[in-house]
Amino acid sequence: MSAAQAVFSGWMNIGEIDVPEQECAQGSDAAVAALVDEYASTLYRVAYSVLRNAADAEDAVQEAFIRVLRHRETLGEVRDHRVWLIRIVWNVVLDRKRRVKCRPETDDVSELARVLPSDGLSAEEIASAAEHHARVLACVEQLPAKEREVLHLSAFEELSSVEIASVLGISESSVRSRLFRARNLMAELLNHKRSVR
Amino acid sequence: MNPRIGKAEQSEAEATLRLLASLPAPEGLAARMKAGLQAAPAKGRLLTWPERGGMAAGARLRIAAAAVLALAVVGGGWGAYRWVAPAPEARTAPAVARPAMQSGFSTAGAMRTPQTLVGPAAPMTPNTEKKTPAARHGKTVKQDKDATHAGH
Repeated sequence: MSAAQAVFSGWMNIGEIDVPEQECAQGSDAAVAALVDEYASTLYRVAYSVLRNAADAEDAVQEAFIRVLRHRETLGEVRDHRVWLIRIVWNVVLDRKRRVKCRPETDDVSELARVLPSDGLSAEEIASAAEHHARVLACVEQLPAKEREVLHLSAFEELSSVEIASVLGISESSVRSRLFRARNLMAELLNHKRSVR
Repeated sequence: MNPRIGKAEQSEAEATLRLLASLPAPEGLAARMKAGLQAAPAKGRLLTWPERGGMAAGARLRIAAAAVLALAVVGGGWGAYRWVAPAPEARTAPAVARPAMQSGFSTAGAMRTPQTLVGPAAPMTPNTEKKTPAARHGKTVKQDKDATHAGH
């Protein structure tokens, strides 16, 4: 078999293909590393706001980046990496929350008191604030899932309503109406709780 | 919206969520993520799809096992069928179809009794017959009666 026949039959050009693929893989690995550097903190905050457990949130971010790594070939097609990554971690978080129903979120006051900022506050004030936040978060959990999701994401100031719509896969008007309903429901729940006390 | 509910409650809820959302990430998070990514398998753990042209060894084994099972079931069924002896045929004679009567009464389903039994034949003895007294005297029974009445 001549060299030309060998090239046409396809077994001689294996090396020629391997090198660009390797370079491409290295390039995409570097791109993923850059994404980790830039967005790991944001993704962690998104995950923590729903899971309210530091270890679970970190696991969720890790899982999201592993998914990114497996689909690194498609990185070039993504327009907005931030929203894309938030969408991935959001789905991971919801999956986890659905799967691990039995695991309690960190609703206990002491954990919140440990996590929340306490600049210039006395121990009593910190405990009181943590108790208040825990009560508010318990009310958030009582909201319907759709409204709760929008409310969670709207708390991130860096996310516009268009971006929230993109993360949730709904229209912007739906985001607005759900947010409106969520705010009203939350206000009613908090007011009711206060009147009961 | 309920007018009694003010903006205070709304902002109260959102303030808590904003506080949670603005919590700083733990130290060294990115480094841990990168270490985890290096340890993680690059490819997804998917089940291998059988080759298009040929057949995988596992598939062949499964087919062979299925064939053995099917043979065992069929063989067992055939053996059981052969083991059970067929019932003997009933020795029955078909009933003779009788022509329907043209007129008159019907038989109402009654069947004629076949003449299978032959009655016992009485032995023929020549002069064993007892003679009545009348016969002995050459008179009939009637004549005897008349004579009796006449005597009275």
